[in-house]
Amino acid sequence: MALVEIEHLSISFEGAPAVADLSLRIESGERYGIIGESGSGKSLTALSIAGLLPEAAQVDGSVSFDGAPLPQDETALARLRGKRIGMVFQEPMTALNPLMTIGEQIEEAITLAGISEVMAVVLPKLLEEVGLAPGHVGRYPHQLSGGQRQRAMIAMALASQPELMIADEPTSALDAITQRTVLDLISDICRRRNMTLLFISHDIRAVAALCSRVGVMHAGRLVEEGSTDTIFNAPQADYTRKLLAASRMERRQATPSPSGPDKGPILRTKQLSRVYRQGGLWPWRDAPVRAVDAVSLSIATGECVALVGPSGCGKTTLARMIVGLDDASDGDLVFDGTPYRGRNLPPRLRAGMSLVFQDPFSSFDPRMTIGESLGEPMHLLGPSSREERNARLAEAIEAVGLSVSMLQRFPHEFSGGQRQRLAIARALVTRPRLVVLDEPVSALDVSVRGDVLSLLSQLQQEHGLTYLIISHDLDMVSAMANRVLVMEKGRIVEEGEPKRLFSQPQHALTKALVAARLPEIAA
Amino acid sequence: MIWQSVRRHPSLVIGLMAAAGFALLGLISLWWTPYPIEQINIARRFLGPMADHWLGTDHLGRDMLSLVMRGTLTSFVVAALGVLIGVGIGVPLGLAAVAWGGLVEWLVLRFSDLTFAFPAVIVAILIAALAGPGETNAIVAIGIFNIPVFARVARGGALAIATQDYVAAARLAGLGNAAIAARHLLPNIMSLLIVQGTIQLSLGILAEAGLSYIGLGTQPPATSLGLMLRDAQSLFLIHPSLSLVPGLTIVLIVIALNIAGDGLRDAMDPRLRHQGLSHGAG
Repeated sequence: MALVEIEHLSISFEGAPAVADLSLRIESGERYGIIGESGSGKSLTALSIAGLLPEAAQVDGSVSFDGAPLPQDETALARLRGKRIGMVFQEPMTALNPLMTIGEQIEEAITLAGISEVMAVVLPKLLEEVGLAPGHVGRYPHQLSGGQRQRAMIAMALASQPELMIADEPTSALDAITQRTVLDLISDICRRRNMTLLFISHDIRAVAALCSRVGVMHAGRLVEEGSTDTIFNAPQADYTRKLLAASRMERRQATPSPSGPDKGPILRTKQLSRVYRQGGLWPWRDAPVRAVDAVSLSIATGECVALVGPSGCGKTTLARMIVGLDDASDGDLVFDGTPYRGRNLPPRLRAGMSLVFQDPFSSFDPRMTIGESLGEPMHLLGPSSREERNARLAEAIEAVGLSVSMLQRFPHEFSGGQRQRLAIARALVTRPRLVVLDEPVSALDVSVRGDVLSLLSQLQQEHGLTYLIISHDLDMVSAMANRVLVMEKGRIVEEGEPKRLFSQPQHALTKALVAARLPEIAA
Repeated sequence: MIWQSVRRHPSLVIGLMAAAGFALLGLISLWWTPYPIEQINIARRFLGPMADHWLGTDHLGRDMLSLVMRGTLTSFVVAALGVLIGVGIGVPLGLAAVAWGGLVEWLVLRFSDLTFAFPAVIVAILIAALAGPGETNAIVAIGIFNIPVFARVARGGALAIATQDYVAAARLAGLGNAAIAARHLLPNIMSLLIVQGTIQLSLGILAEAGLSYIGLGTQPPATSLGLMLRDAQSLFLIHPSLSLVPGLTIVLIVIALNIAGDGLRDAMDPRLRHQGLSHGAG
């Protein structure tokens, strides 16, 4: 008996189809995963099961839950959602009410499930099940970590003993270690309660680790469906094969470039610290936060160094000081033989260094053409003629595999992957020697990540670039880097070659990071 | 793009057309009014609406329609110049506060707190005491009142823009604070400023009427809607239409501008504009 049955579902917005002719069945007790990239319609499919589609959506086809079609009446639908379907969303910070404590919100979910008379029993049991301490009940969402918030969301979803749990990218906003613990938690709960799970993600490995059956969505259509083993071992559709190939990170850096480390360091930091003072008028009340704490490192010309660590460990602050967006509180930076303290980096040196941002969507001014944005760093090289400028822009945009005609267009006309290529082009305009990459692919879809990484290593070979990559993605790091630095609470705790470091981790944090890696998909 | 969003917001069309209609009526009065507004004819005073005088005549026998037309012009000009002063001084202050931060930001915020503490009326009384009442003084008083409003709006909008990566990229590209404010911050808060400008225009018209009513604004023989109210006040019980005509005109203009402002906000706010496909889909 199928718990959820979707037949010929089509969803469109103002004539633009978002989901087209989708049919799928989720059996009771099954763990079903939907894989797809942004815009593939996977979230809309999940929302249609809970009857939560936006009002502007035009829906065709039928969705039935436990044999009966979804009720049209809003009250009946709300009762169904409250009692039989639990939902966990991507960003727990926005899904939780910031003005209510976690306890109140879980209690509300229990009341809505109609079992408020047994509150005293149910609440502690739920907390225990999701791994929250009784002390967390009185806390507000902002006082919890991302993983704890997601646990609270799961507790709310479980309050009504639902038959179906819909988890929409529940771990994409979390860092690697927390992601693994939350996935394990969901897996445990489903097994213990024999609950049906609909898990939506762009992360093939997470789906592979969690689900028994998988559907692959692309551009609003279900391109392939089957058991996890068949799909991943013998994929039929081209798109599935492409996704699988993209999720496997091949080593891109065969050898450290030959001109490598003997040239001496291009960048050195000595006992570099960044301290943020808290407490406003009473600076002695709170100890200052040492975001970066006495970091000494050196990067050789031609090297590709990766900095890994959990969120909040200070890796972005370190990068901001290196590129000259922030001042060091203490210590020295030396780039190309010239010492500086951060923002006082002279323009001549600024031209020799650039930064590629994590989010390709906010790194271009929406009101400027690509050409204007790309041309901005040319200021650093002093006055240049129009022809010289155009030649440089053309060179940079062609280096990243895009055409010169795109310089006239505006950022919103480009996809995420193209924008990240353009951001790399902007970083290359001044012909820098060191490029700092802050999570260069984590905001991109899986299938374009591989292309962008290949582009980066190709550019490194061609232009003899030195990279500093900041990331929490160990697979990407071991594919790209010659050397890895592990950072925790502002300090570098371990460093070494990626292969050795990840096979024999010494420090507790490195061990935890390695343990949190999801298993490779057997090919 | 713009026309589509305009069509999707009927209130915007209604508000803008009504406001533009009143502004046009005022503009026409520069070249033509049914009767010269200075023409006093005591014999024909207190006439009701009729073919010769569509809105009747006032206590000096002047044609009410001509007075309303010229008064609308005065109100619009005073309010618009006040908004211009506010934008011209307030927006650069707000942008400077964000681009430089630190001491500059503190100074701008304290300065706008200080200016906020004095309502337009107090400023106008101060100016009138120093330079005598008049239209110019009303403009200056409304302008000063508008400066902190625009400074705050510009700062609020620019603060959100300043955290975007492209601003950091511009800093990396060696652009100074002023260049960042002009190239990146200002163009991206333009829609916010246009919406606030419309709302301040309607507030300015109210303020002008208020100042003229208490005798600090426009002086006879020139006229404004507030001045007409003041003249009609003592006769309200005998000839209520003399107060109703300018009063209703003020109300209609202010409502039109407010509807237009709300419509502009809906049409321009990108969060509302792209609702539907780009979010929620995934």
